[in-house]
Amino acid sequence: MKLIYKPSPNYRSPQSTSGIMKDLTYCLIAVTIFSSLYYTMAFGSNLGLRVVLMMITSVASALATEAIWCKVTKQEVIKGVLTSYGWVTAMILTLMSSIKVSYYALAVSTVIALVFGKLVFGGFGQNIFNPAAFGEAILMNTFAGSNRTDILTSATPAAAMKSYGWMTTGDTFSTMMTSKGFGSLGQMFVGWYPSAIGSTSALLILLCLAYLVYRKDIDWQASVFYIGTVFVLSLVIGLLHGQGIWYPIFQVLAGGVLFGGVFMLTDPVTSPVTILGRIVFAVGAACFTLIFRLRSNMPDGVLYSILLMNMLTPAIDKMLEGSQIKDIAKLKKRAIIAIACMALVTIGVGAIAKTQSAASTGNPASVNEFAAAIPESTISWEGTDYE
Amino acid sequence: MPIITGRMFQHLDGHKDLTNHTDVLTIKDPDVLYIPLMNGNAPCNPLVKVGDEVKVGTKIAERNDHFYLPLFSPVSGTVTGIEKRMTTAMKMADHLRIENDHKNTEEQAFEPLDYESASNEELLNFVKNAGMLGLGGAGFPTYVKFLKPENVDLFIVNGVECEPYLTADYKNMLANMDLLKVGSLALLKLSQAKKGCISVKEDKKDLIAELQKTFAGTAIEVRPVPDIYPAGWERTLVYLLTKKRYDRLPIEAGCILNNASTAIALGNALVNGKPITRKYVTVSGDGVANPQNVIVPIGMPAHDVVTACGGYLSDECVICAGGPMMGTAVPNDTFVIGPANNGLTIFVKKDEESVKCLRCGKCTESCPSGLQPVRINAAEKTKNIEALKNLDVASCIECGLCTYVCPSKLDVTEGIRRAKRYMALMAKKK
Repeated sequence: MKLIYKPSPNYRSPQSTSGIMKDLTYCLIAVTIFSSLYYTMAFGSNLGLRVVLMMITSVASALATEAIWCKVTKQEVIKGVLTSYGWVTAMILTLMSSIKVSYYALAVSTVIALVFGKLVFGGFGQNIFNPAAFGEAILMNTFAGSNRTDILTSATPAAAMKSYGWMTTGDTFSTMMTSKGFGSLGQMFVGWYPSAIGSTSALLILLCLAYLVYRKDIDWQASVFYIGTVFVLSLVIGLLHGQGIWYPIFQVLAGGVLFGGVFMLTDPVTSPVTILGRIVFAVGAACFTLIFRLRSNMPDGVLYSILLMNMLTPAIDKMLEGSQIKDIAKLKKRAIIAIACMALVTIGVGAIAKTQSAASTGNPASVNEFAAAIPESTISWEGTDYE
Repeated sequence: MPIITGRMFQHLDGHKDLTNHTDVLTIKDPDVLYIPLMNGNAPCNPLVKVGDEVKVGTKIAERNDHFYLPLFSPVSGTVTGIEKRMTTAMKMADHLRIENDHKNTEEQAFEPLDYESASNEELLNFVKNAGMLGLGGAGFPTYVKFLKPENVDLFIVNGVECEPYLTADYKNMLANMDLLKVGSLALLKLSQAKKGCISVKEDKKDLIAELQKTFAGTAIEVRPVPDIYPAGWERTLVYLLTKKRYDRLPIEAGCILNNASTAIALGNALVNGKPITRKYVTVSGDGVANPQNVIVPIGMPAHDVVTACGGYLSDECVICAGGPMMGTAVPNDTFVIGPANNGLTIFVKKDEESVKCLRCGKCTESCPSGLQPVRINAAEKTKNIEALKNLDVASCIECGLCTYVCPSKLDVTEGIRRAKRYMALMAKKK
């Protein structure tokens, strides 16, 4: 008879980190299936199959990278790979990419994402940047030239909107939606349009959010505050320019706001540990997203907004260090000041944005002509909606 | 503000049905008892010598520093020595060894008292001299709370018993409703509060019905609380009932709390003139043959209690003195049931694989003290004194919830204990 000492408590919740990752994997598989179906129906089974093959390529390179890393650093290989959760990074990276990305570029980016984005920091739990976002930044900036040119899909809503500097008249907007074949905002909500592979279906992504929150895998606060802030701030900015409700809705549906908000911003490793911190983090990311959309060269700001906020995570944690009961008034004040500053700057940036429309350029005879006049080649960032 | 801080509690599976419906077993008294001569961290001085005869109810020891607390013998027999034994806190302490003659010769420890006609001063002295102490786990002398009852709005009888597996208070309350009523009303009188309440978990429908019947027409109302952990902790319970937070003592929020078993013990003292010598103890968990509640004398070794419940189910077990959340796992079963011990939880040893912290923040959302355990653990690793100070480490009560919720299966609570020890060490060095 042997009685064993273990520090109390000797009672544990059934929830495990591997269980959380399993749930997340199910959600990402669901998004992949939807995407594969869309590309099959819209562009033929070749592209549908390509989605699956890209996913396999990326996941396989992730598993191989981590296995080799474990071998080299003398860790147990199978256990190491299974508790490093590299496949989640690979899946998110693939879903963020354009369908035009070559297998080669995707595989190399996956390896870079894992090695330089995660493993060199000490592996799972230690990394500063969201590894998938890090890998996607590498993919877009280093391998843009390796995109397959023989794959023809249409422009993405984010890239099309970018050509008007994310600020245009309602008329130009509706023309753009019809001429580019995006259809209505309702169609965008369902997700039946081309964009980054996994980021299209708002409906499906929101279902995933509901599932993950229900399973207590993630908090709802980060996602809801991110998406909510994008909506509210673009509503305000839109009102300053006399835009209708379509403007904030489009800001939320287009590009990677929903996918990033649900699958990347909620990455616990790279976000603050307190809920209050996560709210500041999410609002900050939303502000950066809008600023990048309105003022930068990138079609979408989601990716870099997340990477920037990842860098601020330790600072936010430090700012909100303290007791959540005794110091709550102080912590709340700090958070509110931070949020207010970021929101004001964003609204300010939005206020000075110029409304660009087909008419305002003065040249093209018809709006349609203008929209059609955007050569496909200028939309070389097409799948790089996440930028 | 659960939206910005998390809920600061968790619902846990209590496994209470293991022992809820089985009968309470009165175990045959052991041949030898070891009465711990400790109250909290303070020693108690023996009042008997080796060779003395004692009876049931003989005063055998007392704590006499800034607090006073007498201890009474649970059995009749002979004092045969003072031994050092390991306590549940895993420290060595003196225990009074009493050989039981199994005759149960009694002596009146003190006279019963009619609390209604007694003055508050008489009643307070009675509580003090009857050796009443917090039976919920703290073991704090009861009278101290009532020395200066100023501006008390609410007197609370705490029958929440939020530790998983434990049902001792529940069984005790069901069996001793009348004593509970007397004890609670006496404590209410001492507190000078206008109203009182008794709180139990809302899922215990049978108990709530009984309590409502018993306390009908008194100043004590039954106020069920949700089935969450740690609803039975003073601060959480006061917050659930009054929405008030306090800094040091519940009296700052106008509340005085006592455990339901303490109230029953006081009832027993007032009505029958009997001190605290026996305990309801829950023996439960997947490592014991017959999970059930038992009534045992104070000073009975845990080994004897487990044997009476059918013994261990595996060669490698963990035995917690108390519930699994706050009870210490003791590496041997020679420790005895003390006055504040209300459970033995026994588990078959399980291996757990832990993975790295993913910073999910579940510990931060659950912490009933509003702390940030993940940050404390990180600061402890780098011995960052500044951060540890900001993070208010001293407020941790080691309820264990941070370890419970950790999906990576890390020993979060243990990290905080290390941080507390480190802070204490640094404070000493200065």
